[in-house]
Amino acid sequence: MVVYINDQEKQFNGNDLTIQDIIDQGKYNTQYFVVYLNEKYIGRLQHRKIKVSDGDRLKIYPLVDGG
Amino acid sequence: MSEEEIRSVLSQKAVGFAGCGGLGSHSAMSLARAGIGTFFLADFDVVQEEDFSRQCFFRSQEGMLKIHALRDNILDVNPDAKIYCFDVRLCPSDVYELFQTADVVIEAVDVAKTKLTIIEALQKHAPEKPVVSGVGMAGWGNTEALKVNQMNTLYLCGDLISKVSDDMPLTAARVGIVANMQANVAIELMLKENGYGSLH
Repeated sequence: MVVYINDQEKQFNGNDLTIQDIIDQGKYNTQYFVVYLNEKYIGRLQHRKIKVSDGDRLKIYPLVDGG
Repeated sequence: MSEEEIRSVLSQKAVGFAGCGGLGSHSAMSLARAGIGTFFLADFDVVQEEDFSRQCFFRSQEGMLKIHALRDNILDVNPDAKIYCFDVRLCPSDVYELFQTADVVIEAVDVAKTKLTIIEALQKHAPEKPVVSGVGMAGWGNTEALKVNQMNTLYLCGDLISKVSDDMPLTAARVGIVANMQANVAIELMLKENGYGSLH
């Protein structure tokens, strides 16, 4: 399955991955993210529920402490 | 477009600040100098000794609520500004209500979880309202990594990576750059509303 993450093509094994599964493979240094799936904002409580399909476009922006 | 015309447009605009620390205090002062007419300031914290290393406050203001210290500093620059202060710890139900009439919201809190709370609340209740967030500004140098990421009405300013820690503290210069990136994006958005695009 091909998913575009922040405009970069990524290949994933399996067709049953949730947004959270993809985030978990990203090795980010935070547990807080802003996520858009095909330009639609996806709230944090939906990350484990929504499955990603072949060709989907994900934007994943990590949020880190500091301000 | 002359400076006078720009100031005239911006004097009719309102900006909300979720947090008045390093990012909020510096971006607010830049927007005050640009001539923004109305400010909504939300923060619960007081000015302390440790803030002077990177926040736009002064020793004479130690112990004041940051919203009041920032209000005074804005008025020193722009005495005509209208300023509304909210001494609150922001929660989802507050965010939309406090910033309902703001043209742009500057997200300037220091905890990632709270950043997400603010962004989510506005995406849910007011997805058309621009939110300019500061994310990833700890440390020093590496200026070229700081940029603006946009998706719909959300603008994330910073490197999205540099997390504050004992080894990577916040420093005034890098925080100030990101704060001014936020102010710059806010100005661009508000001028664009009136038909004035950026120069680039």
